[in-house]
Amino acid sequence: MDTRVIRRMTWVGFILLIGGLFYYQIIRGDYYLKRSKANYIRVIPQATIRGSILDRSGNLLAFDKPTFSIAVIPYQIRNKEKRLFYELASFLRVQEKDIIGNYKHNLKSLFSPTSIMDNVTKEEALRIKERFGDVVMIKETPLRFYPSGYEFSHVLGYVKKAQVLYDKLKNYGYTPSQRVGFLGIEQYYDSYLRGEEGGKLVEVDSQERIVGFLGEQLPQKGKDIALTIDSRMQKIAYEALSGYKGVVILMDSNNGDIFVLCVRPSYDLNRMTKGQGVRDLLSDERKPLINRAIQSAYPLGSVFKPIMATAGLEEKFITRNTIFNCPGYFMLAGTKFSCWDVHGSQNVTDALAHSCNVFFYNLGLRLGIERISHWAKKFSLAKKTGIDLPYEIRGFVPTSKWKRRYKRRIWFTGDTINTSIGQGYLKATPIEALVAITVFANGGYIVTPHLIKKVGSKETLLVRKNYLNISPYSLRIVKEGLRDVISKSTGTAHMLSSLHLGIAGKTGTAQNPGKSHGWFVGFFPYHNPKYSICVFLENGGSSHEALGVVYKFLSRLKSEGLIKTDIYVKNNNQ
Amino acid sequence: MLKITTNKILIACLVLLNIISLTSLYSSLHQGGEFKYKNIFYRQIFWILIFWITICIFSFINYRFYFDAGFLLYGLSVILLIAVKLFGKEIMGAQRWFSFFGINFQPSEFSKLAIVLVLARIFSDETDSSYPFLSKVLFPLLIVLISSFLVFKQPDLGTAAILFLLFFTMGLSSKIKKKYFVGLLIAGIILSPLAWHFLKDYQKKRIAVFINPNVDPLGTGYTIIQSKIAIGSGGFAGKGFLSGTQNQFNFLPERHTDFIFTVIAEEFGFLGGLLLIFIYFLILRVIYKKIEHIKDNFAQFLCVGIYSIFFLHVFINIGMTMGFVPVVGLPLLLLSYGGTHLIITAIFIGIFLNISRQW
Repeated sequence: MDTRVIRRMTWVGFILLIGGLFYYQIIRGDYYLKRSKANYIRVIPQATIRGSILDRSGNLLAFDKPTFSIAVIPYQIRNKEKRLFYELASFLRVQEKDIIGNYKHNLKSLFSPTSIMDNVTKEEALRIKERFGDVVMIKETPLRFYPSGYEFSHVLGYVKKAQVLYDKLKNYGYTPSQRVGFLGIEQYYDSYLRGEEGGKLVEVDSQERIVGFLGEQLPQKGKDIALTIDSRMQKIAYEALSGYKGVVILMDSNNGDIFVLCVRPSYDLNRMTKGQGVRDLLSDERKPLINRAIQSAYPLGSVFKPIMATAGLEEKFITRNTIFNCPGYFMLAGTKFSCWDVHGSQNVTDALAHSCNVFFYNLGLRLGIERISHWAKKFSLAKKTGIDLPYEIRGFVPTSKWKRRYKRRIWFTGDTINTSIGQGYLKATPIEALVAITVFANGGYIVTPHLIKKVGSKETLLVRKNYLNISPYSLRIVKEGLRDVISKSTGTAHMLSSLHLGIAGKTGTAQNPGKSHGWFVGFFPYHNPKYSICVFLENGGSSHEALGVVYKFLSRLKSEGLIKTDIYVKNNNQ
Repeated sequence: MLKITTNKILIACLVLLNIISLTSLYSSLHQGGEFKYKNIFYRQIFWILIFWITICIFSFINYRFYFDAGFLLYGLSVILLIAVKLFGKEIMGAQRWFSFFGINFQPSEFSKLAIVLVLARIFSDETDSSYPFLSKVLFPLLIVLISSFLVFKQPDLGTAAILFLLFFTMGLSSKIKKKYFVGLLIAGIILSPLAWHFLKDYQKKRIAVFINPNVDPLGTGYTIIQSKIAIGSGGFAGKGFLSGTQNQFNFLPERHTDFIFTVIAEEFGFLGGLLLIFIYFLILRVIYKKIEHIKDNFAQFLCVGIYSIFFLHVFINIGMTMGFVPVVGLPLLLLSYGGTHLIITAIFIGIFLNISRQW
């Protein structure tokens, strides 16, 4: 008898068993405990109502409305999903592959409800429930709705399920099914709007039947937000911009309340929220997703001249009476820099009114690029304005040092000449241009433009004034020049005088590789400015086009009584 | 003196296993806090009574009787295996049972007994043979192959494997040259891809799943994944009696039969599992001590057979719940629900007690 075989077999076998037990229960115990909990504990999320977004007079711009979605439990429909999806598709008259796509996209666990169709109407949902019974689950889910899907796109942004960016968002307490704001106010004020999702914690068995109840947290509604936007004005701006790529911004000159921030081309928020047409938008060469008011910088052209004039006066290179002669061109070391007309003798207010390039070439040469840069930066051109919208970019103000370092070229006097009339390397976003011109309207400070007016029932006080310490003398002269742009019959924006709004401002035609951009920035009423306006047309051709949009926009505002006209008619000397 | 003490240990272990069996069965038959399958529980109590009666009866039958009856019983077992293939009752795709008056009888369990008896007789015969390889290796191999092939075709992979392994454990314990068995084992391993051909689809799947449970997470792999979760989540001290979530919320199929170990491991943790394994170890230890003590060859080989069967049942079943042995469908010794298994085990214990009484 030889018992070695069975003895060894026993030792090896029992050591394996005990080792296995030790491995699974002691070493990996926590992991398997977690998995066992995932097996039987379910969170049934209860969607929260996202806060609404209103305009300044309480009109709804965005709100949640109830819709229904259909979900299935993968484990319950295993082996028969093909048939079920086919039947559902023909019942709902949708593509089968859409259902399968949703199913695959939303599938997280074999045991948790997986949504296969969203945004079903109540009638459809009831019919489906009647036809398919317990195989399908009907969930009521809120859908974000934008009554004006196009007009407010760039202001509002839209919402998506947090799932899309879940890896980044989970640390901020989002659940995958929760909606998160993308772009615009929806993103910027998401923490107010989102509310808190609730949920029921239940125990389920292997058939996903609920067998126990562990607890519940009720969802908390998000806070409503009121904007400074005036929706009627915004809609008029949207119409005025029809046919252009461009921007209309109307802002309170004194406190930075934004009444209108309209960008075209636009896109439909309601489609974006449902995830439709995103690809088309991304491939659209007109780039409708870009908020041109804050996300693109353009050459300023003549719109830069008021800043130049202020710099000249403040640095004492010119006075009110300094005169430069404009023969229609300017010669520098054999190179000819042209003006758009022959203006003859021009003082600073004439030069602003007529947008005389030669005056500013002369002034620019005397100031030099360092002073020009300094003043451009002082007017906040290379700084974000701090508007409460995400992804704002800043413009660019060149210096000779910058050119040496990054372009590996020295700064030429010709560069200074170009910068003097807002060409060359100088760039600004429309909102920066608006904030800069507003300095002349409000008596010398940079305002922070903003869209928020109220959170819940609380007024937000978001007025920040950054005084530039410019002498009233200089401000008055430039302001007069800006007024002359409209009031003088030879002024470049004289056509706006017929509006009788007391507008002051500056036109600009900014050359660039394509068609020129058209600018108008200004404010009114002149004596006690209340509104600042910026109209920018990308590749609009010239400032003339921009003036057309300004005229259309302001005349509608006036005729509809949206801006008060009586307060300044008295002071209007036309 | 020693004789009495070791047998007392054995009896104590068996009683303990009966208690553990009923406890875990009681728990596994609950669902959502409700005692759902009372029938099965009461039936097992009945079987445990029969179990002890059987032990008593067989402990009085002189084991020498089997020396003569071995081949007869073997013949009977082969006939039964053929008969069950022809007339047996089919449960869950396998034809393993005869049904008498609502009691299901499994001939494959009976064939384990027959094979142990026959092999004990052949290997214990130490008279010199002119053809030792033929009469001591190939002949018993043929006998085992006939039975295990029939069992395998039922299909009952677990029992077929045990029959086959018995041949090796008993053979390697004998005085026959080890190289014969080792050679056969190697040949078997080389030829095993051929056996793949004979496997049923579900068995092929089980083996594929054994290698990687995630290939079929909802089908065959489901059981093994859930089984590992149940065992692992038990942790050191377990979730407590009637509190195993894998068990109570029905995530584990077959948990009152082949997967009863997961219930114990989940509800009583590492401590419970260790205690159980220790009880099995004690039983095997008692048998092992006896083997060394016996002077009769036939009795020794009977004990080696019994020892091997007990060990293989424990090792294959628990190994299967932890995923290092393929899921072959084999009850856990003395714990799983099932009458035939208990009775055959009782017969083995009865035989052992009889041997133990005489030596």
